Amino acid sequence: MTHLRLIPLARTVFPLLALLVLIGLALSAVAIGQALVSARIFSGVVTGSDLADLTTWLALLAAALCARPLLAFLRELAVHAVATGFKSSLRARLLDAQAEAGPIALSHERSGHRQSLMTDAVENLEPYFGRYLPQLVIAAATAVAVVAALAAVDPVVALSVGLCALAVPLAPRLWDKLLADKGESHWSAYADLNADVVDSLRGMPTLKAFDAAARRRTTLERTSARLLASTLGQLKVSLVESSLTALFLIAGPAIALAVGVARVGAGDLAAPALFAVALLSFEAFRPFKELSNHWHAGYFGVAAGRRVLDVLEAPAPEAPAAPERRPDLTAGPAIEAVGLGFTYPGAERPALSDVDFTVPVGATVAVVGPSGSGKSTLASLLLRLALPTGGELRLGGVPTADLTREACTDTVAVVSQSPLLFAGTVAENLRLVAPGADDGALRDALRAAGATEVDDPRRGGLDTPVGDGGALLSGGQRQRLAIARSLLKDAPVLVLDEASSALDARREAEILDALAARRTSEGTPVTTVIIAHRIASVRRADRILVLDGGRVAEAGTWDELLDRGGLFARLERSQRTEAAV
Amino acid sequence: MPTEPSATPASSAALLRPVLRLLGAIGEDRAMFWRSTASMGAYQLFAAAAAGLSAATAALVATDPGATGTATLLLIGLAVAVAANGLFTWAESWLSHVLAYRVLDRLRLRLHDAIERITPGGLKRRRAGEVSGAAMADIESLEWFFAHTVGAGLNAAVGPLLVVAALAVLTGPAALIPLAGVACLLAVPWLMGPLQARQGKRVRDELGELKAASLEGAEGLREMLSLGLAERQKRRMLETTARVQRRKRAAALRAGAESALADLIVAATTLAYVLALAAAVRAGDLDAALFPAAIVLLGAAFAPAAGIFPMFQRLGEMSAAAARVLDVLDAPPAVAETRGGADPERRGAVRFEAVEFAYDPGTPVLKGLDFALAPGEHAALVGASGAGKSTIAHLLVRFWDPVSGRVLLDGADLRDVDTAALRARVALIPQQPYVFRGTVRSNLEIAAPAATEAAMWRALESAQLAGTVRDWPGGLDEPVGEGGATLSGGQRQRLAIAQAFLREPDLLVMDEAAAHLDGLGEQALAAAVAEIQAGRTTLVIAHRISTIRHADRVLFIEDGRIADEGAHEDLLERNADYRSLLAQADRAETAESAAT
Repeated sequence: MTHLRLIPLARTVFPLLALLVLIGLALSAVAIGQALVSARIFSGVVTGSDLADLTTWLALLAAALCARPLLAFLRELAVHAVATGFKSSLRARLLDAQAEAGPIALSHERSGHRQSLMTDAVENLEPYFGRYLPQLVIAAATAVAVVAALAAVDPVVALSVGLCALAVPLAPRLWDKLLADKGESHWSAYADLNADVVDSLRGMPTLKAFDAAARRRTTLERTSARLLASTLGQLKVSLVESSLTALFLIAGPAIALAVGVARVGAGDLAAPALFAVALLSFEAFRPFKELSNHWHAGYFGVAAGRRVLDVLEAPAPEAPAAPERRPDLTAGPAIEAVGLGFTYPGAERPALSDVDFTVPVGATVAVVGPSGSGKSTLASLLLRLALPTGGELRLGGVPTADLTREACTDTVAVVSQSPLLFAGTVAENLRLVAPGADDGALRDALRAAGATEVDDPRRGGLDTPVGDGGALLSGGQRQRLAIARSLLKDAPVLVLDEASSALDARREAEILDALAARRTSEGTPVTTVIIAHRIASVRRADRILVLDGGRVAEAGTWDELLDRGGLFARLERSQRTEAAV
Repeated sequence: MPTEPSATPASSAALLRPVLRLLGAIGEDRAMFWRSTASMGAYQLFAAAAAGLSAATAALVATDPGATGTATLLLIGLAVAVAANGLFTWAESWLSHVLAYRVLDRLRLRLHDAIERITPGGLKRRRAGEVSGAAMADIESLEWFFAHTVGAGLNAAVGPLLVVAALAVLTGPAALIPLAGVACLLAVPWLMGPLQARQGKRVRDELGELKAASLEGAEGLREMLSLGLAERQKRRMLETTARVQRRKRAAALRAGAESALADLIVAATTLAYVLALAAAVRAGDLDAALFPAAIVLLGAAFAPAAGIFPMFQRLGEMSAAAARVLDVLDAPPAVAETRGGADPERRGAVRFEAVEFAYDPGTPVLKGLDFALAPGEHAALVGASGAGKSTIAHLLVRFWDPVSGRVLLDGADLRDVDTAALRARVALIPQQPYVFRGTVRSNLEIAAPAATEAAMWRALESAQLAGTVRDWPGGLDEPVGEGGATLSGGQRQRLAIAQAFLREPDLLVMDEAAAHLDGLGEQALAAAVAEIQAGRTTLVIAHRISTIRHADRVLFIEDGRIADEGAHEDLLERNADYRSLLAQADRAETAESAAT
């Protein structure tokens, strides 16, 4: 049962959850007390007692009525406290899990989905843990308590209330089981229709140019009407489920009363006790009613919880047997692929297969190819975000399978197309990777990355704020700042994954030239891998690897590849002749 | 995330206004809305009746254990009330689901109409695509609100009043106490509405920040790991979460205070009513047996009133959503389309006469444009981005009308030509043709609903796409678009050319792709373009030197006018601006060669 698997997600807020349940139980207790007091007042008034005799009971009623707002207010605060604690800890765990498993284990989820997991799914779990789950406990506990209290009045009445209380959660489940088709196919038909409408709106200029908008609208209208007609009957039956809950909530107290009346008639029960029967049995069902108000929270919570569990339980790449090995980048090839292959989990076709290449220390190697040819997968494998599924990838002579993630990330610095910058100053963003670097080192890195303009003394120099996510910088400035940051990491291998796509060709060439001559602080020449879509970017590379469909289609220098007249030459020509106006 | 007006309305009435206006837009479904709302009212009243009858039965049996006949009657009444409650609960849930579906359907179709009217212009500087995306999301949240929340809100006022009326019959003037109590209870969310709306907006704003930060982290996961920034990103996410929670705390305090206040009102009313009725029983003004029923009914009067809280909980958000949707639905059409009208001889002669056009008054795009295309002529339109080239293309299919001047096709002003007939004669091939989800066949049918399979294959053949389609397992029925095969940029353009073939236009207006396509399909595309241009008047918005070179004539647009026209070579020679524009295009390459 998913509910049981979800509960550990809230382990950091268990004490608060317990408090929340206690407050809810106190509210139930007050309600039960109020029912008993009211029953006493009713029987008093009905049997003609003097009002003065009822003073104590009236005072108790007032006390119960005033205790409720106080408890209700406390409950709201507790719900908020649970939500705050729970969301922070779950987000932290999710981020840790993502860092551990890496992007590859989650590759079936697009970034947009992962984003919604971190935000929407966690937000959806808030009412689940804040409202639904505590109410579930409270409803069960209250029902048991009321049945026990009623048993003291009359066991037969208690038994009938107990049976009705059991029917509240069970009847809808039974109904579900009776219905073989739960209408899943209908829901997907709804989703399809919705997608068609969105599609039509997106393609409206085309529809309009073809004078097809009215035709398309008629089709959509007809499809929709047909879909509604076909679901109407099915809907009538499936909706009985929710009505059953409502029916038992109100039928329960009525049945209890009828049984009570019969017991009074048979002389087994004193007549005034009927007030207690009527009012108490009502309290047994009230928490269920509240629970049904949070039913949607429960439903969405379970759906969101499943996705969260998937991520938390995703396996990380296997750890190496001998974790002390380090890549050696002083001699021999820096990177070596031997029959390298990789297939994403769940994918049908491999992203890389039978890839062989060697990158000598200090060389600049470019990887080009149409999108989807496997370029970026290569970078992920270098970082050991996943292990090759075929062949071997060696970093400084050691297969990545024998290295720790840290050994790989210490050796390789990756810069992406849209780099991750944080609110703060230029210097703060740079020092994230080199906490001890002095201003001179920062300026040196900025110079090498052609980003000296972000260190503008008129705007605050290195203390210039970059805005949240680097919003105050242009796309090109963000990329160059990110390149400078990667240089400060002082890693012997630098991977630029479309990292200069926002720069103009001249500036890009200058930066790549500067990088080609760079050495680490230990004097090792920096090995550079350029992953690019723009052919012109790779002109100066020592060697160019052309990937197509996960295989090496061609390899060689710029001139060799052009002379050969293959895929590379065609890509180059098509990009060159497309000089855009 | 859809934008919201920065200032939220200052009163609940103002918040409700756009919601109610949009509710009026569901027109034909109003009857369904009332039936659904009435069913809800009915089940709430039967629930109240069941509670009242229970108390009355208990009171009767307690005071007069011998009155079994009356007790049985009351119990039968109770059974009827319980059964009716169940029946109406079911009816309401069914009706409200159907209503939700219908509302969604109706609003979607109205949105479809509205987006057709404003395409391709958009609304208040936002593109039509953006507007429709936001409106679809709004409609989905409004659907739930209309179908399940507004009715509950209405019943929150009506249900208690009916119960209070019953109390007036049972207990006389003392019923003024519950009336006052219910009124106070309903006033609480009404008065808190604007504050709740403001707090809700602040929470949503912070959530937007959280989403942005989270998306960046998800996209940059690899870089984050490689640079050891995971901890930093974690801290940023937790800080943003804390900000969201601070905003939510204000809302939670308000909600807590609201519910406490409501409970206090219930408490005060109940105590006052209990004392008043007890006194009335003592004074002999009220039958003692009615006392429990009246008190229990009071509780039942408050129950539906609670239904107003969820409505107000979301009112701020829904009001903003309704206002945005209304904005779109109310938008005026870009052009008044012509039905019937002139049917000029079909030759394919185009003439722009002193055409002026502006999207915003005061910033003219075209400033007296004059040019003519002879039937069968191939012209290339060249100009810097923003010079008005796409506007010229859109004027030819009447997405827009000129502010002044005329656009003529074979001598007839486009405004006098039947718009459908005009669009049948002019084919527009956009830079990034849209492929609808469906199949190759359904996409071709959008262009030509009556096309035979043979005609489709001929068109695909001419567009150099037949081979590709034949290789697909599904052939013409291969799924394409979202969820289907992904077409490359070149394939999309060739599919658009096939669509154009099926329509056999007299005039072809083509916006050439500026960015590089797949590179490898270039030749096929060039062949397809050559074939469809043959014998047709063609106006190409040209981005490639080769296209410009092959045109019969180049129209060079600058500052909203034809700055020069003639053969490419001649323009190169005599026009410095033209030279510099083309040189700019080549700059990337030039820089490359200079650096080598």
